[in-house]
Amino acid sequence: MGGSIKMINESLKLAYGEDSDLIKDKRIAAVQSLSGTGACRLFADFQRRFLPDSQIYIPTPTWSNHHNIWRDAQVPQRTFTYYHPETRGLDFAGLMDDIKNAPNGSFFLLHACAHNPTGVDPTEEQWREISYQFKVKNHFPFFDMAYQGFASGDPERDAKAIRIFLEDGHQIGCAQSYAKNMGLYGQRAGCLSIVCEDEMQAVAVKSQLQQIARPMYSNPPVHGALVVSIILNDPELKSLWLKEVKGMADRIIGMRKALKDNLEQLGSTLPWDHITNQIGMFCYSGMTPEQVDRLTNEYHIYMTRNGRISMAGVTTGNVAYLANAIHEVTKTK
Amino acid sequence: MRVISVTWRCDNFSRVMMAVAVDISRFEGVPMAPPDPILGVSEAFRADKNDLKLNLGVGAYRTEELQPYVLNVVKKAENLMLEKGENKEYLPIEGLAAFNKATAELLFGADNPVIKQGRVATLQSLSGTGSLRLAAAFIQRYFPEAKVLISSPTWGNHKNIFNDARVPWSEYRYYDPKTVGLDFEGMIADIQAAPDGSFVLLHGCAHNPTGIDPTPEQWEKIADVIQEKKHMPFFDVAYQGFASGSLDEDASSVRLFVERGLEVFVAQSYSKNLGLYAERIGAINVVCSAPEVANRVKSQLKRLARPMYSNPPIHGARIVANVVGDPVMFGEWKQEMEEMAGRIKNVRQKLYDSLSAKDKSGKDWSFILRQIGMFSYTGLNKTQSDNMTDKWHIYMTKDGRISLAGLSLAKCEYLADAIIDSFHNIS
Repeated sequence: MGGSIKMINESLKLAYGEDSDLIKDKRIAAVQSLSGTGACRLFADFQRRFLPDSQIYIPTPTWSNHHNIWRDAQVPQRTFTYYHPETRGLDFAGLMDDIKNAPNGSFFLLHACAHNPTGVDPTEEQWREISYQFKVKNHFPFFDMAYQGFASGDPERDAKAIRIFLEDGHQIGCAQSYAKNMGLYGQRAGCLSIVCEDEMQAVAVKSQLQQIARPMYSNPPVHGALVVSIILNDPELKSLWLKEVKGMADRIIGMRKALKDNLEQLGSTLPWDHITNQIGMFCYSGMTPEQVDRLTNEYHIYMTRNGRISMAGVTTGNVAYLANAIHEVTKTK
Repeated sequence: MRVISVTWRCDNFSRVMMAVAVDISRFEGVPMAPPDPILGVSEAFRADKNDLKLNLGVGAYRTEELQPYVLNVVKKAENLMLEKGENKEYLPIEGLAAFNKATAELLFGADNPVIKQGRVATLQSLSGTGSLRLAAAFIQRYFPEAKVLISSPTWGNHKNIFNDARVPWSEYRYYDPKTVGLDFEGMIADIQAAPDGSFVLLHGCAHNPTGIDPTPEQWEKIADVIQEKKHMPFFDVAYQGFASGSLDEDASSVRLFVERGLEVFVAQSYSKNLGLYAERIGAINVVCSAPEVANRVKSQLKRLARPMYSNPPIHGARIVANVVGDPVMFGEWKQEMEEMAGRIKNVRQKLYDSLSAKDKSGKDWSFILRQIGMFSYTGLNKTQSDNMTDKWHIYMTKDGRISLAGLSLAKCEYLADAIIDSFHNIS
């Protein structure tokens, strides 16, 4: 019911570090999950069952399905400040205020890297401050890591936030997904892990996670997990994967630069630094719903009305067209 | 109160030690969960080092050599899929369209009016369990006053599913230990006594764990009382094709209800009949009174699935769609399924013959031949079942259920000895 042991072990190494003491000491309760969604749902159900007084703080904005998951699990949700529309960056002061003002011992959902939908991540220094404040407040950090390797091109770098928290002694929860970084979208391959006091507690927590999974789907699908475990267990294949994931990330980073360059060349006077400052698959462009509607109706460009552009859909073949369209709908006459 | 030390860098100038008081672990109150009564059996079996050990626990088909069996037609389909090199993009929430079409047609018959009229809401889901859970979540949300009637006994996980979905349930009589058969009158009486509009969970064929199915005449009467009470029939079809060897015959109970114009829930699984256990492939089907009803129901099932797993896994769905969609492969599948069902029938016969020959008490073991599907309810109680394991290293569930799928002809005599010993010498 817990899924592929090999896949789980390799997933933990990716998230927690090859030499993690937590892994050596067997302190992590981990199960294979139905990609990132399934991992979050298992955790939410676990919260409801064993920490019934807890709630979850979710960043504003976030992937919309986060709200559905904790709602259907019947865990009360609150939001915390995250995105700063004026700068199209992080509202760090607002974020820290909300962390400080939340009751001690609150549960927070954090995007480990490549925040969805904004692409705005805290800097390393900011993560350190967040981690410190979490310690003071005894908050529980739950990381949703859907883009490890996909954000910067380097899985180790993309796990930096998690490593900072682990260094500071936090006992974290983590949802991992192989949908993007291994392109296994439809295979539903992922992992949920929860750091525990000791091995005995990890065994107990894992057994309870399995109890939650059993009446939902009995055991997780094997195919995607096999692919993941074969790749990560074979040095050659793993090395090939690291190259390919860097290739994917680099293409996206290249498209970000190209889009920004194109907009500047077109003579747009608006600030577009956020395109290259943001990271991962998405760019929170700052366009209004009305501007997005114009993009769709006049230019046949499809995106969500919150102005989020999936950079993965941008190519050298269409970036000029996209830049032109964005310029046309955003320029002030 | 635990006190831990925290170190952090402060302005790159100095490291400051700070003691922070934290409470005892958040997970202090998390107990060790008991092993799953069914899946736990296999775990115990693996740990047993005895040569004579036999795993009659989980309902997974084994060959005569007691090895897992990947159907040849599945290997063929997978090779085809690899050659085609299709991508791994997300399926829509409702799953692979080709699979949904194939699965509904397999269940109801391609010419069934409900299919032609577009009255079936079908969602690919995570095998039988996932299908049942989606339906249970739907019942909780849209029929919050209703309860589900489940057979006594039934598959152990049914109760877990309805409990976790917060749907109240009660049992209807089913198994009669005196006859080792169906307590038909008890069943009808209990369904009759339930509040109007209850959901009645029925096993489409090859009842798990008893192997006892109603006769066609009995199915008609069950449909009568369900119709009269305006209950909602809810079928769990985990063994279509596997019970009798015929896909159509095994679907006849479901089709009977549909023909009466009733709205019906049906959960399907391809774990056993296509041997796709770990791929987690099945479907929830809801037959509705009109196409626009089916569309609404489907949309709400999707809303329940999205925060559970977003969209279902592709691999198993593609295998089923390929096999069912190709006449040659479909024919090969039917053939392999007949062989699997045939092996089980042979093993039943051999077990019965061995028991009859060895047991001098005159006990009538013919119920083994009357039961159908993967399982046999032996009538052994918990203590007797424990004896099977402790003395004979035969692993089974404590309700006396043995999985004939895990039995070979070669082991029938040994099993007969164990059953006779446990039945007569242990109480």
